[in-house]
Amino acid sequence: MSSFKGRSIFASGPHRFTVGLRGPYILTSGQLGSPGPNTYPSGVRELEIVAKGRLVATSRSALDSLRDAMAAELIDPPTAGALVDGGGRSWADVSMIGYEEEGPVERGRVWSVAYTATFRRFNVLP
Amino acid sequence: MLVIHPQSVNFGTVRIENVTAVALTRHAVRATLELTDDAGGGPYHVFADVPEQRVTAVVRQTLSREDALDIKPGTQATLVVFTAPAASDASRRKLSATAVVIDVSAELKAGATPAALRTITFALVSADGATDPVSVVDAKGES
Repeated sequence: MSSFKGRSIFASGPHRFTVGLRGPYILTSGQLGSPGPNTYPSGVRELEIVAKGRLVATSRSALDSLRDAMAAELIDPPTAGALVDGGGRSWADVSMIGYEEEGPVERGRVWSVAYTATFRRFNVLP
Repeated sequence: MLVIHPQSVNFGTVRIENVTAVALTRHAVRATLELTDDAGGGPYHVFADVPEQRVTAVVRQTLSREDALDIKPGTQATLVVFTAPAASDASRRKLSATAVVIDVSAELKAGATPAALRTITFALVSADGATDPVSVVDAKGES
């Protein structure tokens, strides 16, 4: 079962995880002040993981509680914890840096809202 | 729901005569289907819901002579259909809904006894978005 910092914030509905672009961060000559075709590696990109899913509840108030629980993970400054996906893979020391809902709350048989939650492992933790 | 030869069909104050059938259709305008990674994931949807539905009533008339009924698209009124399995009052039911005309079409048939099939399509609307637009109640003794 997936979780963040041991909390089952994704458990109410379906969700999937995607690992973002990895590899060196590339600067161009222009960015370094001298126009030209060359590029230069400048450190390793920070690990980014995106969880896309849907919060699901049987009432509006219950759904709002789930939304609030997601938003409560966004703290300043971010603190790191373990993110575990549904397959059991764990990423240590990641912080939740974004939560965005995709479209309005929908009411069919149940109440639900689609979301994107973004997690990052800072190279230098704030 | 399909009503064959309803006892009467009214749209607001207008009585629609010679109705041979009324059909209610329910269509998922948008269905939400989701996969999940939980428990390892897989190719099958684990969540399906229909947050957007369209409910339509289609009224079909068979006309063998001229008919002055002139219902215009966009008109809103209460559509009321009385139905009963037999001519008696037993099991008589009243179907009603707030309806908006979205299409009026006719198919003309030539022949020894010229006739026309007129089809009126209504979009049925809910009072608040959550209540089913269609109400079906026991109508024994009601006219």
